[in-house]
Amino acid sequence: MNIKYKIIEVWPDDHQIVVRYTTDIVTEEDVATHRDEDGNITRCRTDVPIVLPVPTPTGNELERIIMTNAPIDFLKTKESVLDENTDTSLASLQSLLNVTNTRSLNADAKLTDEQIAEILSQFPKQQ
Amino acid sequence: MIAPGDSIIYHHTNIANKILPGSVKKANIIEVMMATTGVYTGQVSDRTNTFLGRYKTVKSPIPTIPTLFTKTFDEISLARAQQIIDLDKEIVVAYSGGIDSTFILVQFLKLLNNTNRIKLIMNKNSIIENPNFYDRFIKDKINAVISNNFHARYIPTSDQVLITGEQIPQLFGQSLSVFMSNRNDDWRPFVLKNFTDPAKAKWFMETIQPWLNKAPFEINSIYDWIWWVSFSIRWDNSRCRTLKYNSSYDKNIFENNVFNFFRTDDYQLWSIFNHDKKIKSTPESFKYIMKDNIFEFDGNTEYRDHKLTRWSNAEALDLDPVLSEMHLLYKNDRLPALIDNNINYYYKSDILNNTSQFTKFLNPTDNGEWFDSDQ
Repeated sequence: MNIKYKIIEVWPDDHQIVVRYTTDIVTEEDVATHRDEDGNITRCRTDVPIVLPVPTPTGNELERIIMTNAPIDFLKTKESVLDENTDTSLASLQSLLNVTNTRSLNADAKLTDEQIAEILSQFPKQQ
Repeated sequence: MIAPGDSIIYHHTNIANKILPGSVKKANIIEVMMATTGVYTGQVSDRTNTFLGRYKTVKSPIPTIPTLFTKTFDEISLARAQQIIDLDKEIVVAYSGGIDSTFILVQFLKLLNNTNRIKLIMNKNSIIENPNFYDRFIKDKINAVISNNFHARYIPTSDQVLITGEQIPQLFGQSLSVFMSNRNDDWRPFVLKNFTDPAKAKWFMETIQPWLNKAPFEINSIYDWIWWVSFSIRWDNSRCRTLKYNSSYDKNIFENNVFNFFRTDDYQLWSIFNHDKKIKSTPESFKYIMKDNIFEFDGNTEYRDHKLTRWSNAEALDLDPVLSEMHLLYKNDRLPALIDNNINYYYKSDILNNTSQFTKFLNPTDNGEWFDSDQ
């Protein structure tokens, strides 16, 4: 998988940049979440804000920081979804859709004060 | 090639547990003890040698306890600062602006005429934590590197010593106990409330007795309990925090150029002999000994009387878009999941690809210190 990235915003007040990540397969269209009135993409799920150290890194160091922040797992998953040969239909979960499950928390079954008192009667404080 | 180690100095709990055979879902007793202090993850190793724990870990012994210990916290602190100054290296303080790192900086400022010896690694939040101190003693006076991303990732050179404020929860008590209004109550009902099965609760109480008997004084209150758990079990966890945010430390730099300021025998003995001097009646009084020391230096009554303890470094990390994505970094092999005692770094993929290579770090799971199911 090849990660592509571009810096789409620069915020000097916070010494921060926003980086948009895509891959050879996952395009901006695939990850777009917000558009302006003309339909242009304004925000993607893979836009990541990164506060940069001072002095501002360049070259390899800047790339290292950007790659460290890449949402790699998400992009991998998205590539799988877009791959026709990979089953990502979640078919096995369709039968669970809208089924309400109930499970009691352990907190409901903590020891009672009486049970604790009974145990403590066997374990007196150190003398 | 560094020789593989035979014990663990750091592990990321969820990822390292992939080493365990798939069918095993057990909790070790010291992990259950640790959970009662409000801290569920991290390196646990029982320094009383009562329990083995899940992994073979690097373990620092509890110092031999003398019959009398009279050194004051202030005396110990100045001696510690002088010891570091005598190394004749640039002193790089990881400064959050909280009580611990401010206290450390004050000790150096008391002893050094030349602040060129000091460099601070800090972020914007470090200023917000204590703006008065920043304006008076740091701004335009000390070389301060202000960076959000690399606050916790600084690796010193061989000409520097990196000073951290780790170990304070083990000396003074975990912050959970500071804010508990019932911290002076009997610890036993507090701990037993964590259980659901009376038989397991009884087993727990029986099994911890030898460990409890090794405490340097009687463990009565919840505050006592949380301190003893942290002091005896979590001391070594704090040694490695600087390691886990980096992937390029070598053993020599880590052992010779990274100092947890409070990681000394004298501080531990002070903690044992001065249990009554850690907190008074209010949360604001927590670490009052340190706040009084800072006050003597800066005269800031507001900070002394109202500064509440909190994990300043955590806030620094939350501001950090790299570190706040911690789970992502571990998952993607950007941060180590396990570090051995020779400072070899292992990542999630290393563990998943060759689990058998790591089973040498496991202790037995049939030695009577395990819960069969989670509590």
